[in-house]
Amino acid sequence: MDPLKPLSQHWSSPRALMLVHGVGDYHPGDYDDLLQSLAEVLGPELWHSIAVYPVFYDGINDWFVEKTQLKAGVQAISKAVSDRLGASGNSGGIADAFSEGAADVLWPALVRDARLAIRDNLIAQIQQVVIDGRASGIPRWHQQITIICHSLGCIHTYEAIHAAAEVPDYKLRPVTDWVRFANVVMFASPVQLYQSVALSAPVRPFIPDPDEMATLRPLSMPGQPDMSQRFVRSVRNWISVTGAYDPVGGYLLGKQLGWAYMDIQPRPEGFTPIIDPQTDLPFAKAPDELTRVLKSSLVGASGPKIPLQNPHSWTRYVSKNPDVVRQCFA
Amino acid sequence: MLRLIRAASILLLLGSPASALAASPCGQSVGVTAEQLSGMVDSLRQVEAFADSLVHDQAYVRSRGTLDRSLERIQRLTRPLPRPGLSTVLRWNTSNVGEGFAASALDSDLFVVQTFFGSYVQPYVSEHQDTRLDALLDPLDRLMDGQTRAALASSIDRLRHYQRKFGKGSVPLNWAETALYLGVFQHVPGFGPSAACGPGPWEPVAAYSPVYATIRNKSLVGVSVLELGARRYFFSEKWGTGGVSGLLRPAYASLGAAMASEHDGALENPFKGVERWGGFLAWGDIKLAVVGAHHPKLLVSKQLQYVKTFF
Repeated sequence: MDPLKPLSQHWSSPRALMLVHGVGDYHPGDYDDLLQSLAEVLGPELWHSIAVYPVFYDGINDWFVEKTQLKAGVQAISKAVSDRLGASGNSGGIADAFSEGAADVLWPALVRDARLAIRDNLIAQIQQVVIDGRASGIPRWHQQITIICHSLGCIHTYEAIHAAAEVPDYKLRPVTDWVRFANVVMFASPVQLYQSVALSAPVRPFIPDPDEMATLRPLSMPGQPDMSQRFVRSVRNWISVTGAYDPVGGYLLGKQLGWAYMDIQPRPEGFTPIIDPQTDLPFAKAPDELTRVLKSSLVGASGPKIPLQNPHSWTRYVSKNPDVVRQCFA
Repeated sequence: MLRLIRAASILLLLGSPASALAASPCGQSVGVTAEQLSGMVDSLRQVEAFADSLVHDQAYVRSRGTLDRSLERIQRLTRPLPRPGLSTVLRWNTSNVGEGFAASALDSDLFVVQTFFGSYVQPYVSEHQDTRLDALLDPLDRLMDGQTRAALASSIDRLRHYQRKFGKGSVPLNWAETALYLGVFQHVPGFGPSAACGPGPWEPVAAYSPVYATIRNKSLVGVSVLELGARRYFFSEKWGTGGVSGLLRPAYASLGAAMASEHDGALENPFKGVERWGGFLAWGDIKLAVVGAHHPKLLVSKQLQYVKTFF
């Protein structure tokens, strides 16, 4: 996918869906399992009425990996994550496997150009979605735009929806530009983990201008004050779903890691965190199995092919939480 | 002559009530005609009456006054202005008149209009199917479409610039350059990025180039050179296209100080012996350097990272 050409299409209803993937080298076709799962959950009629926009941003990651020599910074991040997990009393195997994946997640924070370029990529797609809706005859106040994201994609989505509300040049503010997202659903969001690690002592010196990143400020609902100074949120319905065996979302072997689990306090109207108990997975009885599964899925190109028995699988999250998805398109 | 050209351009601008909305320093402007604005104001006057029936608090009364003043100013902008005489124009300062001024004023008034209706009418229309209100708000929606399109064009421009500077075809940074860029230069204007303008066009050069070539005793010999300077990327779409035109208009050029060792030779330590200082200039991938004060020597090379991550 050419990052300079956001996907554009006709809408056959007021509903549009953006999908933002997590770690991994996604290409056209890599969303197929997820799309099939969404179609099963929503039913064919509703599904075919939705304009679906899969986002591909990994090509931009590649620009910066090729251009810069970031291994030193990435190794520092890896070690910081590994140390924190180790301090939480977890096996070295899980800590190592997880820290490799987390490094992939965190390195764009090191380069301002990378973080802004990926943000621009998402912003451009959102702008194109709004324009497509208008070109299809849907006034912007009737557009129902939903974003569903997974893993690292939650960080980029979090950055994008905050930038949309804050940067006037993007023309995506909820009051002045009349752009409000009907739903944002985050599966296995590492936003809190990202913040904790990026602001920790060993990593903080590597992060330029942390205030530029919404993820590194106190977590909040994006929005804009209206003319009466009432806060109007950009997202009507924001749901964060995390599995009890998914460390990326801040849970390890059924135990919540306070420094890694995403919640917004005080909890704003419109934000709902949900824990998926994942009791059908075998890890409560065989914790070592989690190490193997994480190792097979968190790193690099295997991202799109995470198997269903993996607690981090996006497709699994959708099929096991159908009500979360259905309420977005009710 | 220059004053005459300036005056003529001001006359043209004043005679045309159609305007372009102000954009950020790096953004694209939005074309909007007088008819569009006039039609929008007429429609919004009716929506304004509807808003009066919905909201009644003190903040609304204040906002309503602000809105009225903005709508009035926009309406005035859509009326044709009298053309001033040439002598009058020559005395005017362009900073007080002309497209930039009109666009900036219009932009502020449109901000008020969009925010007012976004505050008081949007919550109602988004929850109700009211075809009459939808139709009355359509001119405002169309205006915002133009803004969104311009913003999208700016986003794509920024991405194109990032691709030019960091994507395939850019010059990879070695460890030293990466450390310099991340540690220092990404914070320096012109080098680092900004949310509105995208990447800065400059990046540091601190490279060891081991295979410059020169002629000695009628034979070709290698020379190793340390380069310290800066590289500039050209973001215009006409530049960096490759092929023959890419030789004339490359994607980047660099300039700086060059240092070679006392003796010629590939893979020589540039600090060995009495160093020879000079300068280098790269135009695209073609690099020229001159080193040595007493016996200046012209060196030629090609941009290439010989050992990945090092030099």
